[in-house]
Amino acid sequence: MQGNVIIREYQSKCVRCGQCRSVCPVLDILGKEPASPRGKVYLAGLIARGEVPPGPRAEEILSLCLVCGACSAQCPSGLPVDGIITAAREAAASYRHYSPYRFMYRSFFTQMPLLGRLPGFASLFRGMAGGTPLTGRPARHQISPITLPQKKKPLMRVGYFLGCATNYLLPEVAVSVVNVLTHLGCEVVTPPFACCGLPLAAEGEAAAAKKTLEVNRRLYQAYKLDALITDCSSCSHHLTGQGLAGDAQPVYEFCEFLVKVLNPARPAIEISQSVACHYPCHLRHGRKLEDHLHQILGNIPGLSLVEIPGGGSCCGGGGSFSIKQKSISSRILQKYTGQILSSGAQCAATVCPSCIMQLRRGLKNQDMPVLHAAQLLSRSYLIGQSPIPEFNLSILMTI
Amino acid sequence: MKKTDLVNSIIKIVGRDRTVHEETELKLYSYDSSFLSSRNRFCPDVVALPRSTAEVSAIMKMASDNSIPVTPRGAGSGETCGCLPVRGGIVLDLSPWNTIEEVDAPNMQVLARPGVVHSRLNDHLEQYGLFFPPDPGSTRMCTLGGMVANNSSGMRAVKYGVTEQYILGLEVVLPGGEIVTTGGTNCRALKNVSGINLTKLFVGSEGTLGVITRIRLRVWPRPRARGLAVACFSDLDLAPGAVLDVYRAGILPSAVEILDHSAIRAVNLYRPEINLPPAEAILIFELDGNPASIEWEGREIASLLKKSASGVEWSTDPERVKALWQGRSVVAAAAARLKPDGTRVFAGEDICVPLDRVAESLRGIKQLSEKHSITAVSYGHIGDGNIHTALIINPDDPGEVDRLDLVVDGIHRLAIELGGTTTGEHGVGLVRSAYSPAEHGNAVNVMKNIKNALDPKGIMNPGKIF
Ligand SMILES: Cc1cc2nc3c(=O)[nH]c(=O)nc-3n(C[C@H](O)[C@H](O)[C@H](O)COP(=O)(O)OP(=O)(O)OC[C@H]3O[C@@H](n4cnc5c(N)ncnc54)[C@H](O)[C@@H]3O)c2cc1C
Ligand code: SF4
Ligand code: SF4
Repeated sequence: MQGNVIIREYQSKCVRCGQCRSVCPVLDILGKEPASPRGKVYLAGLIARGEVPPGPRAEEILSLCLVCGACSAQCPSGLPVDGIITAAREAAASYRHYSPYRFMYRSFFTQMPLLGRLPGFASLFRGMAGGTPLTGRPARHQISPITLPQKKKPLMRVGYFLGCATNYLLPEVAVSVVNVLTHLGCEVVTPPFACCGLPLAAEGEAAAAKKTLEVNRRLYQAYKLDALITDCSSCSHHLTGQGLAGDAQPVYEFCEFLVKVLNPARPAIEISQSVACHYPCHLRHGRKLEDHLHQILGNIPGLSLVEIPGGGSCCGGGGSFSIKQKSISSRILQKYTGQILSSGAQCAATVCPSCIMQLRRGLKNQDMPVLHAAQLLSRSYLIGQSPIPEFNLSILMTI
Repeated sequence: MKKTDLVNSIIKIVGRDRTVHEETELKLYSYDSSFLSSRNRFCPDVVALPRSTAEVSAIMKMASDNSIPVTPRGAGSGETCGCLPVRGGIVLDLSPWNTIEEVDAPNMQVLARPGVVHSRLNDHLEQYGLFFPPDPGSTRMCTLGGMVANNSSGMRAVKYGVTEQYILGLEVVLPGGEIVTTGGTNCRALKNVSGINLTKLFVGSEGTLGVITRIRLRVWPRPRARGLAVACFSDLDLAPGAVLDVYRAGILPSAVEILDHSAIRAVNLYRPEINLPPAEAILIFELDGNPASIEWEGREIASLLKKSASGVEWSTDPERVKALWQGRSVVAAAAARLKPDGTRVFAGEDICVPLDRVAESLRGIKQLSEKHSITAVSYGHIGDGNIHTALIINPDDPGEVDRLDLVVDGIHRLAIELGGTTTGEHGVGLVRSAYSPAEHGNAVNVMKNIKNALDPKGIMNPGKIF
């Protein structure tokens, strides 16, 4: 089994120093060693050596992880701690690889483009993501497969990796992303990409995750794109980590693309808001790109960036973690939203649809909107001149 | 007592949420960072995560009534099996009990619960311009309780000493459940010689005499500036002399660190861009204090070093200081690079020898490692003779593990032979208990008598130290 190979390769290099304990959001809530990254790495070794059998007990402990990557960024031995944990999830679930649940989970994420055509799928997706309010039709129906800049000849032909969460849960973000990119001179192509594979890899479904990667790789090559852009820190982390396109055709996170490639002129329209900037874990620990988000938001005239006390942390979302470990997820969220509120900001901004959903859940009673950076940028660049009808941002700000 | 009854009585005291009793989870309380712990399975029967002195007291009383061993645990970053229940029983995981109860800045002291992590305390104290000086390398994980129990220190012990010097008083739950407060726990005096010094008895007792539940510690003004002097030596024997020269000039650096040839090689393999010169030893002197005084001292050190060393550099520029520190700060992680597929293990890692025998010790360690074909990287706090040796092995090769044991034993015996000790800061626990008679002679009996007086049933962290 692939999981065991990964575990054997790395686990014995864990010196059990415990440094990863200092950053784990789950350990911070639960306090007990089994919830620590070190505990889960140790368990991985016990499973690989046959001292702990695959089964629900092991699965339960391994489910105490957001796959946020904070531990890996902290580990002095340089171990891919969250990778060891997901490999251990595969090993721990091997006894029910063909169970209806695993089968459905695999099918759901590998067959997303097909399933998406079924009537009612969007509602099903939204229901699964915790009954999120409907904010319009899926993005794929709102943006055209190819959007050209209004007047100029395109600078480059970029692919938009429209991820599942943005497509079904936050279509207005997709509209803003396309608007900003076309405004800045790009031809934006939105091929029917499959899931990035992270939800599969995180559940220990490495083989299925590879399959979606292959589908995406073929599409990427077929469309002859100059670059691929995602609005989701997690997709960006996973796709670059898995080497979607090799070095030749890079995959960029949205702000990264703006900073590294487009280097755009300062937007003109003032947004007089104080904004708390939330750095998603995969942006921060995985891609180490916080500066880019900070720079893009800081560039918006009138907008003042407010520090979140403690420097920000994980929102507790973690994709399916917020469903499977609802109570822990809520406790992490509650602690964090308290910090965001105490920053005195009027609004929070980030670059991850999953974080946006989670933060909105936590802040919905607090009158604090949570937006994607692309939405703020789009407003600052384009009000009144959108090539695609934009969502009414004043309504959006109050969601 | 049956295991289910034990679990139920713990649940009754701390609640279900703060009790761990499932078999797989208990296995994750069987390790600390010592190599020995990964070769054994010291599992507790139950783990309690108490959050009040009353809870700890109730647990101790129940354990004492039923003669059940109890082992306190902080972050489990120890390197001695100290926090492991070698005879089973109850583990008290005190790490989540991490409240800083009071910062009394005008009186330069702090009151805290045992689970507070060292770096969190110092981050918190920054706003007051204060700090808690002992500085273990494990600052980001180790707890104050663990530091007090192990009397921890770090590379700045040269100037600031060890944990013991900062503990004003302790609240301790004795093995029978009785709660005592020692020294200045209940007063705010910064000096206190009233009564037999029980605080010092508990500091360094490694959890064998009682459970530390509250700590009053003194804190110091935070230094305003730092500077670093670096020097390369083509002859290892010249390095200790250079340290003495600096002391003789009336200068007390905050840290004096050494990288020997093996460590320099490891750093260069791990991060070629650091590019340390191929010397037999590199010394790093850190100075802290006020800008004007460290500037003078730094220049003085640099001119002294030039007599015996090459490549001498002195800087107070924060960026340069960071770059110069790099070699030292990555050495622990770099060590494993000397052996492809090797893993660093914590064993024989903490001897402390007289200053004038550091060179001899480093050579002795090299000979031992060559004799038994075990890769070794040595570095450490030459300012006080504390040498950390990183041994690199393939833990899955039983032959190599046997040879490792020989090297570790050799290193410990070498330290005693040279007039030093087997442990400068990490403690004895299980891994060094065999050397207690050689180090302490009949004083071990006095230790045992004290232990018996406080813990007649022998339930408090049994199997450790002696
Ligand atoms: C990478 C690394 C670097 C290190 N660097 C240093 C260093 O520079 N200097 C240094 O001194 N040490 C160092 N250590 C060793 C270790 O971190 C220290 O000994 C530390 O103080 C242990 O703290 P802990 O919370 O992890 O305690 P644990 O390992 O959990 O326990 C240590 C001992 O303390 C006892 N104990 C813990 N809490 C209590 C309590 N509340 N009451 C009674 N007994 C208690 C335990 O029973 C055990 O005997 C290092 C370790 C690692 C892994
Ligand atoms: S930080 Fe790395 S080496 Fe240390 S315990 Fe965690 S995983 Fe292991
Ligand atoms: S990935 Fe995040 S949640 Fe999971 S163990 Fe590491 S730090 Fe904890």
